[in-house]
Amino acid sequence: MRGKAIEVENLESGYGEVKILWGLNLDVVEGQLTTILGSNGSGKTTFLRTLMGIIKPWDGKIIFKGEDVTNLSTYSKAEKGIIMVPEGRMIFPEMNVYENLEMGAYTKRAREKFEDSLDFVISLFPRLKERFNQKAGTLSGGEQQMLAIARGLMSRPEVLILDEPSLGLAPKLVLEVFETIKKLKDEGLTMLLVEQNVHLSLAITDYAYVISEGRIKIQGTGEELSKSDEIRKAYLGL
Amino acid sequence: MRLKMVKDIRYLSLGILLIVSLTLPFFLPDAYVYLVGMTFLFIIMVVSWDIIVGYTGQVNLGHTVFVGIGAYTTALLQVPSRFEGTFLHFLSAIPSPPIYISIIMGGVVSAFFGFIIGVITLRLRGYYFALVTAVLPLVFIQLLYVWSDIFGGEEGFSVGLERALAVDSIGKYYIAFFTMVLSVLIMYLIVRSSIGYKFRAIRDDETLAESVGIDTVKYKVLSFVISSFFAGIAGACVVHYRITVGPSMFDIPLMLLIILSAVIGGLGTLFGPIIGGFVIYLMKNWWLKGMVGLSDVVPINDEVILYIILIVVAILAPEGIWVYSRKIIEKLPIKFLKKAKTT
Repeated sequence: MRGKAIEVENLESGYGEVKILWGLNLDVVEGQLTTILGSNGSGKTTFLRTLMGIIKPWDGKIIFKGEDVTNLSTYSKAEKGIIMVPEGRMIFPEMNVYENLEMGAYTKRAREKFEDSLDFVISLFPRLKERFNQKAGTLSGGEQQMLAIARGLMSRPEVLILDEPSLGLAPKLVLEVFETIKKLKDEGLTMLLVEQNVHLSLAITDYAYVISEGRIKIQGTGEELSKSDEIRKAYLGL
Repeated sequence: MRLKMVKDIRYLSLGILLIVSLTLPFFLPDAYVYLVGMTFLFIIMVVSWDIIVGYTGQVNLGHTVFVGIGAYTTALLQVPSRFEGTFLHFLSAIPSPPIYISIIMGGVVSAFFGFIIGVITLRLRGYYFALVTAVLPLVFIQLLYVWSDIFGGEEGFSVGLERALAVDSIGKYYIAFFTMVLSVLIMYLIVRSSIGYKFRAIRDDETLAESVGIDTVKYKVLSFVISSFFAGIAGACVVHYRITVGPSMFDIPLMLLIILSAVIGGLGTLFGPIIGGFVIYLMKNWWLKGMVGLSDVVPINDEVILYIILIVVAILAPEGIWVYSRKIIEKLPIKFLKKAKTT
């Protein structure tokens, strides 16, 4: 039995008077890929923002490797190795590619292993090396996504959290992103993926949760959920 | 290759600027030497504003308040008798430090206020900081009026001829110049260091900076403190340059001139604001002075021209004249090289 990297217990949060999360319980198991699925407005992003400490939790607990990190700020969580690759524009556009990677290795923990991380990241994304001196904002959408993931890896994550990495990418690039995630999973990296792309996510994930209206509706292994009728009805329209 | 060319040209132009600046007092009439010296102090204000706005992305609309705090700090340290007969009379017993110490004190006190205001307002993201700093000048000027016994109200007060930076304009000019060079050099080293990276990361994307592991509040406050410190230094120097201190020196027109210079020069480039500050300040106080008489004939004055320049720059070179001219320089050598190859 593998240990749990992140345990979320009865997490509640929201904005102002509006409660979005109504008591979430979920676990991220070490060395596994855990996926959170949900349509727009289901509370996925709010959950991630709460998990990272960008918004304060109202109630509940977040435990990282047995340690209570519920009320830690985002940067202290990053120092502990909970690294998020945020959704949307996920790079520093005014810096060049190399500087972006340097920023990734910002924490003391990561800086010591900068060279190793860099080698690993280049072996994963050889194309980035050709573009070291290019301004990150001028990369193509797919390359920017690769850079964002690479930057996340430079932080030496204990848990890598990916927020909708396939958002706004061409189908071919979406496949590439998922192949990369699969590769990282095979390397033994603990990951938490938040996605809308049900098909591809379920194909590679170890375990998945489906959020709707701020609550966990269904959970199970990737295989179980792919066969589940409820999922098919709700998400695949079959 | 191109990069090296740009660097060469940058060093070359810096060298020329240095020589011109050092020899200028020998050619110029005294009144203009005085004015160019003031310009150097103005450049410190523009560049320090660029640190918090251009590099860190936090819009500070009350920069002149920190210039003013530095100015009044040194003025009151030099003339503690202003406190006599007020509720702060015990302060009048403080012996005056040498001018240089008191100028640095101006920067320190300014940085201290920057720290307090920063800690309160920079914890929040978005426009709160801009709003609070926009109100600061109004509060500051009102305080000067309300406690006019100490601050001298609308007219301000004189610190006395014997407390000038130097006895003549040329001496003042060189002191202002070296203060500027030293301040800009320190700020340049800061923005080139790893701290500068963090500032730029916060400017580009605060959420991302935070998730990379940067304590964004800490570095925003640090940036604000550095910016306020040099604003205070500049303000304190101005007092000993002009021998007087008064609220009109730190009012909203100065703020607008700082914004104008930094934006026209190019935000977040450090060299841009130096050039912008130099050109705009001299335009406003020298080259466009002839416009004043003209305004009876044509409805135009120096302010109008400055804002026309701002609009033109905003349309043609939105990143500022520094970035614009650098792009032109980058293109030049390629043309020459191509010609050289074909012939």
